[in-house]
Amino acid sequence: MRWYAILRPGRSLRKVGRSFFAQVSAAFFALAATIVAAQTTPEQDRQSLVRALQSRLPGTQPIDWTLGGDVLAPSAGANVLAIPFNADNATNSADILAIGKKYWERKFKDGKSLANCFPGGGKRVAATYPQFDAKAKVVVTLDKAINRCLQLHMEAEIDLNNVLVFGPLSAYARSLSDGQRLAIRVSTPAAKEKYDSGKAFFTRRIGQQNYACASCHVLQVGRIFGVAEGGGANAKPTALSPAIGQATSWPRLEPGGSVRTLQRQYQNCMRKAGAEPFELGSEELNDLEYFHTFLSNGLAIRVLAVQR
Amino acid sequence: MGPALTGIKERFPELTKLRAVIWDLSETVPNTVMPPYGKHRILTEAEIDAVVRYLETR
Repeated sequence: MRWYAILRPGRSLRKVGRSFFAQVSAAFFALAATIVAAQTTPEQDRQSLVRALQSRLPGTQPIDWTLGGDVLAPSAGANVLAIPFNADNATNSADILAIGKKYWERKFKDGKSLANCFPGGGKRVAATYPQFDAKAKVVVTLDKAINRCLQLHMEAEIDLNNVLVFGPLSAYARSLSDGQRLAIRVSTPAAKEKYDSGKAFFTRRIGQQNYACASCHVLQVGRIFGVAEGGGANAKPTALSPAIGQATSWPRLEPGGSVRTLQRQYQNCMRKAGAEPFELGSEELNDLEYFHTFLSNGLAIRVLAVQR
Repeated sequence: MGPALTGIKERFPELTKLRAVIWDLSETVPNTVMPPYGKHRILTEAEIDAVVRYLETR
């Protein structure tokens, strides 16, 4: 079976009274999946996923997938179909980027700024994040790199949950790479371990609803997911977007004009699965972001696209 | 995402099998996205029985 179709059971939020045998067999399958995972290269994984998605979305290419699910299934209500490049949000986008630029260029007590921490003032760097830090053996997202810079210069780190700061800041930092093709590198066995950890997350079932990322964004891609975020009066059915192409377009503008970062979207997905989300910037979400962004390698970054 | 709720009696002549699908389809279809309504206690036993009785009429 293909790697993306080996969905493994995870721990449920609730006690479900699993037998000892079930636990042992789950452990066995997890181990077997790890061995299977170790045999393929990230690029082979990506290519087999491209083929799987194309077979489910005939006549489409990865570049089409960056536009999200509704583009691929217009019957979903076509709510945002015509605005892939923030055409009707220009002012709002410009405001958000201007705020982010202020944070980016703000002088530290030592006279430096975030811009000084990155080559070329940050131009074209976002396309290479997340990166694997071989020394610390951790995945460094762009957000983490920003906080590392602050730490290095004895400045207070920014809470990742502070979306009013991190939203615009992340949008601006990534806008310096607008149009650049993602080029995530997984070039050592140690880096591959983190990639595999993200990949395991991607295929592990979680929560009361028992969904894995791959359940919706590979196996059911393009189909209609009837429960809109939060439900309520604004509930609208959504076509499930393909796993490839998703990582290009962050942060996004939500219909209300606020900014949503990629890891915040992971948290939304986890809530929909009925699971308690991992923290922003946690090892789990960072590893997932590493794997998930690798899947979009070769596709161009565009920030502040309209959320769909 | 799921199939149409028609012809349930033809598809599930044995209601215990229909109940098992609602309880936890991943037992028999490992890649399903149908939530395990019984196993994960999304519905109570009585609620599942009621759903089975409703589906029987479809």
